[in-house]
Amino acid sequence: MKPKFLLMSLLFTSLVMTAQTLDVEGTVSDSSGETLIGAAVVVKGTTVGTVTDFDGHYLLTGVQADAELEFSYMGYENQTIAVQGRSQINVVMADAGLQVEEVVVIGYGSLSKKEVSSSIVQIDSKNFVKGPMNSPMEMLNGKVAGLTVNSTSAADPNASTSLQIRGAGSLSGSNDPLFVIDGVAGGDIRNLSSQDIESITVLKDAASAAIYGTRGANGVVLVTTKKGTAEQGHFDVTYDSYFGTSIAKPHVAVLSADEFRRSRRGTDYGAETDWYSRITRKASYDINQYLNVSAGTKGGTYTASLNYKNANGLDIVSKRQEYGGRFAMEQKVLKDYLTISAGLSGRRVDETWGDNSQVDAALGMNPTMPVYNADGSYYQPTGVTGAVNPVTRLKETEANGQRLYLLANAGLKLKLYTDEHHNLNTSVSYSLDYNDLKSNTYASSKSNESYWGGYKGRANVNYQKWQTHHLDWLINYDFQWDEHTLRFVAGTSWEQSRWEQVGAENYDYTFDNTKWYDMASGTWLADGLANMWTGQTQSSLFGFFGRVNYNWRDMLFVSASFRREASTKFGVKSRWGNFPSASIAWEMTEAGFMEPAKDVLKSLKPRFSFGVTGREPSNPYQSLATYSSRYQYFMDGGWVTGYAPSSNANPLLSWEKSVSYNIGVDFDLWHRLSGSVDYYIRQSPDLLYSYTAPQPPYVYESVLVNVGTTTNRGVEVSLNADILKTKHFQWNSGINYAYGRTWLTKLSNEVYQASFLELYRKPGVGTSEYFFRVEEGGEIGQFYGYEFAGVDKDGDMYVLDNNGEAQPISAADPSWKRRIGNGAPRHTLSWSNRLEFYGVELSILFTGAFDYQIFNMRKYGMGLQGSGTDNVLRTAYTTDKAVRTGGGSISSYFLEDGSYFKLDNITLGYNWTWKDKLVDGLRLYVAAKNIVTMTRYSGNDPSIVAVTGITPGVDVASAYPTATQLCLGVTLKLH
Amino acid sequence: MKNEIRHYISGILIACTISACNLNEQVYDRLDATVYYQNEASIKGAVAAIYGNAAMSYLEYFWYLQEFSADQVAWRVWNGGLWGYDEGEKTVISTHTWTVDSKIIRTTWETAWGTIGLCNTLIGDLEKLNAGELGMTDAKLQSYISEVRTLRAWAYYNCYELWGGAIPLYTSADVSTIPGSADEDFQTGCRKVYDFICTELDESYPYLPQEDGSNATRNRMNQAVNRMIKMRMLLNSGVFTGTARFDECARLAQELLDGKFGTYSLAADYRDIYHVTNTTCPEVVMAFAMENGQLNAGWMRDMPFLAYTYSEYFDFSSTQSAWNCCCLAPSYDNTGTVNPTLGCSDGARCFLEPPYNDRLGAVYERFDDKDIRKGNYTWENGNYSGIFLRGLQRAKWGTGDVLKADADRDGMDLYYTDQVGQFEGATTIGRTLEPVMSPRWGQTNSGVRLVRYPIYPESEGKDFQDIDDVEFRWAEVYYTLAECKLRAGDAAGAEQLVQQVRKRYFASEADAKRYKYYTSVDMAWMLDQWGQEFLCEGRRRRTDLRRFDKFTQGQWWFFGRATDGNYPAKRDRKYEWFPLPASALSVNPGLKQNPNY
Repeated sequence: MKPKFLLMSLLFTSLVMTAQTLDVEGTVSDSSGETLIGAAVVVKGTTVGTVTDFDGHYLLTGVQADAELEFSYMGYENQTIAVQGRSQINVVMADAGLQVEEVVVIGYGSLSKKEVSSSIVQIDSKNFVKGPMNSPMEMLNGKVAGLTVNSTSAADPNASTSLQIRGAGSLSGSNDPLFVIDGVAGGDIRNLSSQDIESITVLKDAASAAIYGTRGANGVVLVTTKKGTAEQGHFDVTYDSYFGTSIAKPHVAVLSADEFRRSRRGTDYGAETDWYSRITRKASYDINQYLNVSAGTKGGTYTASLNYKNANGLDIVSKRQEYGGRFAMEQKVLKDYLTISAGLSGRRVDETWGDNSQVDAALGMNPTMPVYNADGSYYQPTGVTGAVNPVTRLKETEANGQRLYLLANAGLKLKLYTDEHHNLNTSVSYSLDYNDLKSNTYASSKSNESYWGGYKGRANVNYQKWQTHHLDWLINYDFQWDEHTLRFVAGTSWEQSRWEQVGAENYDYTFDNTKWYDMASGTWLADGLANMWTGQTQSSLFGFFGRVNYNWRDMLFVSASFRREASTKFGVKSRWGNFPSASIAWEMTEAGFMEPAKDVLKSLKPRFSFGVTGREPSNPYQSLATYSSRYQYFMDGGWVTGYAPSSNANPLLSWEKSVSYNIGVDFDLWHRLSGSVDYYIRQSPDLLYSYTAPQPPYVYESVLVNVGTTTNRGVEVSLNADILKTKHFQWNSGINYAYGRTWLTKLSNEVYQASFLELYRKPGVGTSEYFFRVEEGGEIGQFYGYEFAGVDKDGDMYVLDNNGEAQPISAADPSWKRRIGNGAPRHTLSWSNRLEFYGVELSILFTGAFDYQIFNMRKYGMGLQGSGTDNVLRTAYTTDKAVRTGGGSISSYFLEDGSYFKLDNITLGYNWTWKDKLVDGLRLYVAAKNIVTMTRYSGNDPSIVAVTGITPGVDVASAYPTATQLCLGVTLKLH
Repeated sequence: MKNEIRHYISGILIACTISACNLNEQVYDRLDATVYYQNEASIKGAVAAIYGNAAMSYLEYFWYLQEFSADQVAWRVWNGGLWGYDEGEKTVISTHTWTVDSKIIRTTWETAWGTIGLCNTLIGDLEKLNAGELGMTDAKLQSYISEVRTLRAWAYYNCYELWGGAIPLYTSADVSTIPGSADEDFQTGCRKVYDFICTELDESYPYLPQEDGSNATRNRMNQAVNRMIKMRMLLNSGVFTGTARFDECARLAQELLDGKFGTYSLAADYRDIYHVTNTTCPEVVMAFAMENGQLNAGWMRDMPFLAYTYSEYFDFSSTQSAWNCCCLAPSYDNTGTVNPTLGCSDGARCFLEPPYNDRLGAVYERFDDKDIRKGNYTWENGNYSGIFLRGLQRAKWGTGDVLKADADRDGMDLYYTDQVGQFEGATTIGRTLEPVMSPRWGQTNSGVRLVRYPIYPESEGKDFQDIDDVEFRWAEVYYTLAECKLRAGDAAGAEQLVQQVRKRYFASEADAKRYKYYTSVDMAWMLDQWGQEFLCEGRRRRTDLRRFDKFTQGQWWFFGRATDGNYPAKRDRKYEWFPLPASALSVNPGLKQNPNY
């Protein structure tokens, strides 16, 4: 590059005129003192100029004494300085910061970031968390305040990741946000390659989500995929892949065979078996290969990508393979009046399923039992604990699923009118979202269930498909006049979803070899004991919506939207719902009185928003009187299939609503420290709850009615600082903090009266305890149980009675139960850092959650000497030896502080760039995930305990191995 | 002009969108209620669902409330008070400490009204239907209506036994009205419900079929069932309404025995009643039809009593798993010398002997030693004998290897002792042994187990789940008439009737007349006979204890004796009736709680 600069300098200097002139020289540097290479220096009003050299130095000869010099450099604010006869002018360039117009994707459109008046966070691909992942949503972990990304067994490639925005609101419905992939609502993000994602936008408040009104109550996640390259005639190839491995962390210790014998816990069967090791492995792999080609033609862009993924789990069975392909195009035709767009993405997934419950079962197995009998057959335990040989369970029961994801869309956009003030266009788009899953199970003749059930083999096949047709019609109108910018969008949307299922099950086979491929050969079919089932449901949504955005002098931003929508899932008279929203923001720095502060305060934008969003029940037909088959009975010499009303129909069934208010402020200081603070209240009335029905007159005991109300409140703070910003060294640090709580404000109306909710029945035999009891007015996540009050000399647990006296737990009365903790973290924090020096990039992410309790189900189930399992944790005989038994009841003894802070991710990368004809860039990176966790919790890694939904913080003893995940990735760009 | 074109375009687009959208819900895997009734088969289907619903409700929840609360069957907790404790939900039924929040009472209520609700829906619909349009005769339609009315009367009767006059009387399916209790006053309510049930029965029985020996009616509501429900109403009229109707009851029982409502007779071999062929047994008046793969209540069939190793004992394999939770009320206390090997005590005192002198509970010892039923269940010559499991348990009906116990006696020989208590075990956990312990503390080998229905060995090729569940049998008419005669002072007549049934259990008539703990044919004797004949058939609380005023006032086993809870010898009379569940009261302000709660 050096010759270029010299050449340019030469060129400029040669043009310099003489007479009444002087030579001006100086250095151009940035605010940190680093000199800037290649900054342009031009004499104002002329073509005379130069650029700075490697030392940031410039020299202009023959400058008139009263001339003005203009200094400019990409990313910095331009400066104009009068020469005033000086021959030495050193310039410090001010950082232009976020001057580059950032575009934020919103529902049915996009806005420039400064125009946003509601609570929206957009994360672009360069800020995604790197490393092996089960769902692209893991790339957002810690990136958005108020967004919880929970993955309970990250090392299991088939495990799902749950997401929650600003706490749980619904009691019986889903609390998952709505996914909108390139404008198609309800798509499945697992259909996408993580590399295909350009950006993910999280609409947190109701004002931004209300345009999706009926399904926006849990927040909306907009996923934007990469489009073809914009430059005409360009053809880019990107290869982006990684190889990852999960290295199991040490598992919890149970008694060894020798310790087990000496403890005299149970029968000694003479063997030495480390059951846990028999069904797990130390490390697993995760391969992700991605290739993309994209091209720009005259008025069009095209992109196509292929993706292959292959991963296995840390148990001996789980596997997952994915083959994905995607094509997207956009082409302007008819003199750019019409834009045609189309896309097709498909993904075939082969999942092999283990049984994660077996990992726990293995820990509880008697370690003196053998895996195999002397004759080589599987050893089948006959204990009362119901323990089955976990090796048999995993090896002799084959379960897998084959999925197909398809998303096809096509659209037309027509320019209707354009001039310098007006822009009117309309578009129609259709998309088909199709998923299917065929699951196959074969429990062989050697399996536990065959052994106990007295048959030889069981085959089960179930095929399900889900398809949704979407049809959207939009009209966009932009208007610009002077200081006024108005953007209108109006549209209508129709959607029809259908679920279908067919399945069969048969038993008792002569050969194991045919598995589920020859189901009819099992003998139970002829005996009339085989099973067969089908099902199909359908529902539709139809809505109208509109929104207006108004921008006055880039200072005042107002937005209002409205959606009116009907769902077939509701009663005829209560089918339509109205979902309005409004928001306003004021960029105070644009106001005259802020002028003095402008050097410091680059942006200060308070905003307020209000919106109503909705939620529908997951199952259709609950408002409709229908008959379903129910029982059989022997009548007149034959068995007759019974029919009865399917459920108590509620013809008044209607939308769940969420009314939310958000008040917040965005700010930017020196273009170095920016951030936002938000406070929100979300009230969710008319929640659907399966209520006790008065019997009579109702036939069944429950009816789905719109009764309850929950309230979420919280504060979110996001800070982003360029701590160091020099030419060769940059350190950007961000903090996302959220505080949130959810209350059950109401659970009754005139007819339906309930004072509390009981949630999450404790797993296990012979139990009817619930982990949670949430009273009206109480907080979601309240654990309900006995208060631990010590132990006696025999190790019997004592709990507090209602007079504050300690009583043996065996004599405990349920009326002594009380609120003993809360499983929802009140505070979550993440701290991300991005350092760059000489092309080397280092990202470090810490995440944490604080102030909540976890019910340690493993300690409850197998952590004490008196626990019901054969084997117990070693701690039962060491740290916890004073307590013999927990009395089989939920008590505060098993509740522990769940707070944690962890070093979640480190990514180290290096970029090479060539101005070469072929290679555009090469990036290599190594990433590590889940590195160190600091916590006082004694069970699993607390970050894997589900804290989303309305039953948070129960560590259901899933001992699936946790792992540190390492990955080596490469991105190669060719053109 | 330009604008108009745009309007046209917009109009067309809107029209397309709207026509594509059909806002009516399309049903696929179920039937729209408006098109349900199409022919007789659809009516039959609706009736079949009611029988299924009723069977599941009565076989499980009503059985819990009627048997656990009485003196013969107990829900037992083991492994140091941990296993089967179930938050005390079933234990409170055994210890008479239930409350309005009891989950068992709640579920019983819910399933019971499910049956009544299905009846109300169907009867309401049938009365509107035109027989001709469904291809039926009016008589056939009338017969279905009568069958469902009898089913509903029986469903009401079952609720009435538990909750008396506090229940609502509602015969419609209209959900716009929420009916309150039958009457503000509990006693008046009792009389109203009594009259309602009797009227329903009286009006519907003439249209029901009679059993003529072809066995066609034994799974359905027939004339004899209808009259036997009426007979139960009359027999218990004193408990229900305060007015005894024993004379009327005796007349109806006699009419039944005279064959006026169908042809029935006593089974010479009691096992015929419980075999898979029991719908050909002349004693069976009504049994719920059961078949694996169709209606299957196999999880309740003997399973509550049996332990996990039961399939080895019975030499068969089954997908049903045993619960190991129930046992018969023990005959012995826990005094004497503890035998740690077997987990029992030698020299324990029988509750029927001094100092206890009970006449209730102590099930096993109340059976005479010469009763052919009193023995461990064994299989020989294609049939079973004995209905109990007691003592050392060996595989294959006592002929094979010794079976092992689990939990608090893990790995030790399984020995069922006729005691309930926490004896020494391999791992001593829980309470130490006390002379009398409540069912909260019954080691895994506590209590004699009952095998009321046979479990067939694999070689027989019969499935115990296919045996129909007997609800009404002819012996009840004999016992009812015997009690009426006894109450009328005719002890000889009473004994003669009981003996007609009882003699089948003994080698000789002389043996059948031995009553070890009962010196005369009196009320205590009658109650004992009821208990033995209908052991565990789901009616001990109602048919027996309450009419003899022993339900809260009689003493058995741990009441007044165990130290682990406050169990007085005589309980509060408030427990005579069950409370309406709090959940039902909360959604129906018209319900009046049973005044004792």
